[in-house]
Amino acid sequence: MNRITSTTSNRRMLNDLATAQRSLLRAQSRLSSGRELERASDGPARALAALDHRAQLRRSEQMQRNASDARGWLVAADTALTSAVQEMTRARTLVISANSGASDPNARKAIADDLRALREGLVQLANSKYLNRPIFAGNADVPNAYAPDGTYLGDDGVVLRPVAESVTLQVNRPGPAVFGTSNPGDPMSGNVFERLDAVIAAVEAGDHAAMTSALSALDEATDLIEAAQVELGARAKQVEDVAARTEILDIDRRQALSELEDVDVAQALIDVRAREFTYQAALSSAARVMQASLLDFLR
Amino acid sequence: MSSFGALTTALSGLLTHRRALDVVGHNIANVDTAGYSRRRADLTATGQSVVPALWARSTSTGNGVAVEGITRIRDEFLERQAYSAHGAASRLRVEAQQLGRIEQTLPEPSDVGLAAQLNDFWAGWDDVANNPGSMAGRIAVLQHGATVASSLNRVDAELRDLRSSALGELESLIAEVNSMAANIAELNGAVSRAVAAGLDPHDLSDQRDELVLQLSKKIGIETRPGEHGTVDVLLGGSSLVRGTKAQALQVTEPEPLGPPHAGTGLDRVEVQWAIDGYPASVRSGEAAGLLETLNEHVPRAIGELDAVAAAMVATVNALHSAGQGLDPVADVNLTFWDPAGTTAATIRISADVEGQPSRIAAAAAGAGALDASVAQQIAQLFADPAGPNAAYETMIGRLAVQTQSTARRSDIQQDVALRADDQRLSVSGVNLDEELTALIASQRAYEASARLMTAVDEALDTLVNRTGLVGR
Repeated sequence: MNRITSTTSNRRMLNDLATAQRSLLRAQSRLSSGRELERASDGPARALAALDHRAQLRRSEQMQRNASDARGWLVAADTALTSAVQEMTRARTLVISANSGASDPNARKAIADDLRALREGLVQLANSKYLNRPIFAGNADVPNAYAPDGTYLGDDGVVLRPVAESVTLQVNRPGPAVFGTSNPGDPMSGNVFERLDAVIAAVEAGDHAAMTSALSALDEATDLIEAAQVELGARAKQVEDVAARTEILDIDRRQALSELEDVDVAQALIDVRAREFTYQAALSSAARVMQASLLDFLR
Repeated sequence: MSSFGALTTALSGLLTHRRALDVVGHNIANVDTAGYSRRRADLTATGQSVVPALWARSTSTGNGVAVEGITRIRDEFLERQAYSAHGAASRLRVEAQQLGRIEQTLPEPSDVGLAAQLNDFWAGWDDVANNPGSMAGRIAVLQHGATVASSLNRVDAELRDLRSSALGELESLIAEVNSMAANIAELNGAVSRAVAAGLDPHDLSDQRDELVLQLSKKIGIETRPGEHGTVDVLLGGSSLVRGTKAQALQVTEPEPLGPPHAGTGLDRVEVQWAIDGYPASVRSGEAAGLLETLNEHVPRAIGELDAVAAAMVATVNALHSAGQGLDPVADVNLTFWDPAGTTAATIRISADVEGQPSRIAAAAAGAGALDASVAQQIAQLFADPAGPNAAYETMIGRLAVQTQSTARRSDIQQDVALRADDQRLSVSGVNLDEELTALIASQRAYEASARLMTAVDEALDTLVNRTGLVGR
């Protein structure tokens, strides 16, 4: 450029000052807002990654909720089944004592009453609820899984909980899979309630042969309950593991999100200082240059 | 040469340099005037006749100096370059500004944007799945759905508002362009009259050229020198101003927008010549930026938002209508979103489930009433490549990239316009140091001319009063 005119130099200076001021303001607003990405166009790729991380985080927050719900189901089932196994053990003891010693009808009647109470307790355990929903009733909308007479009211629906990305666990077992399938024709191979009914009848009748065979039938039923307990227990463990892993993943994800969205404060402070310095330098040099003119040196 | 010739020479020096001082004064006075082109007094030596006659021998050294004319110094080529640089810069500035506004309607990434609301909506379905029998989760998912719908409605309305305010801006801009064109035509008339009268039209020309520069920022123009010092202004090859005649422009909406924006139901905006209704070719300047916003940027954003709404309705309804609500007989084949509302403006919760949380289909048809497989499948839609999240991310990404790149191009083009102005002003601008130098030179020349007059006067005094005194 050959000639520098007053207007040009003024405009230039003003423009440079405005640029310096703008970049100072930008650095400062980054520092004060603490956000690197104030809008998506500040960094489209970063913004998209941040959107993705946010969606994943929200999703895994929900997964944690699902996991805690799953835990609730499994814990309720575990408590119920632990008690059920104990009850079954007690039933076995009672049958043995009825079978061996007590030939007295009154004593057998007492044992039968005991067994009847035990059966009632077992029905209550089979009707255990979580959040007011019977846990052994499948997906049926019923108040109880079993009627007092031992009839199954639920269905064979599975209750699934997605507890982590691509990990979906079944948190229930429908009643028949825990307490046995009903078989009215042959009570001894029916569900646990039918078997208990048969045992009670045998005890009352003093039928020793029936009592002996009932023992193995009860053992079979206990095994089924125990198997269910072990399986659900293993799932509870799995839920714990998965939830812990999700939490670790979340921490990493939060970190990544913060790196994408948040300002590195030290860096931003240095930026502000540097730009402040640039701005001041621009101001002072502008003030000097704009004052100088040939007029200063003319008589 | 006559005895008094030198006096005339001295007088011509005095007059001429006073004129030159006037010019310097005018320049200094206008150092900050926008559009002022500096002047230069062109001096020429006068004297010897141009065609020496036979036998006429002249020993004269000339008769001094005269102002031949006053030149307005500017480079037409650089001026025209500045017009086009300013046109392009204004267009990009307006586009970047408008895209920034479009982006502001969708504040992402944030905790309150549509993305967060979509995520809440999906998570709500898992809550329904966790406890299908409870109304709390179902009511919450209806609420989340209503929030998403009202957000889509609101953003759509904001985008349409933004477009109508851009249209208002374009209309007032075109009105301004019309009045500027009329002013330019009027000034053209004044200039040509001044030229015909032999007057100096420089100040009028400056005013007119400044107007042309302002006009180039409003609407992309080219110029062509006309007759008698006038300037013709062309818009896309047709005359906006020709001599003393100006053509008016008008804004109309002749037809609905064509593909790919036909689905938005908006009308295409066009700038036309008022005289015959032919479309004017507006390729740069603020008007072009606004036209691009009206016909491209906003309709595209609305279209993309519609795609989000359509994906939402299609994916959720497909799963939902296959499921069943709590009543396995009555609550089947229901839609969650109103199937008639597949755009961002019309999306709303369907009458099937609105206010009836128990009818939300969380269960698969035929399964137990507390089955939740459909709710869980809907919750999984957040990752569906055909789902609304994917459509929304595409939209945000596209908009962010376009906003960013337009802002960058705008910055670059502003710089180009600034350089063009520098170039232009380096020729036509006033430099005070230069003017002060010229001031001193003229002042000295004036002083010297006065001194010459004194010298001649003294010489004549010697001749008139002191000769013939020998022997007295």
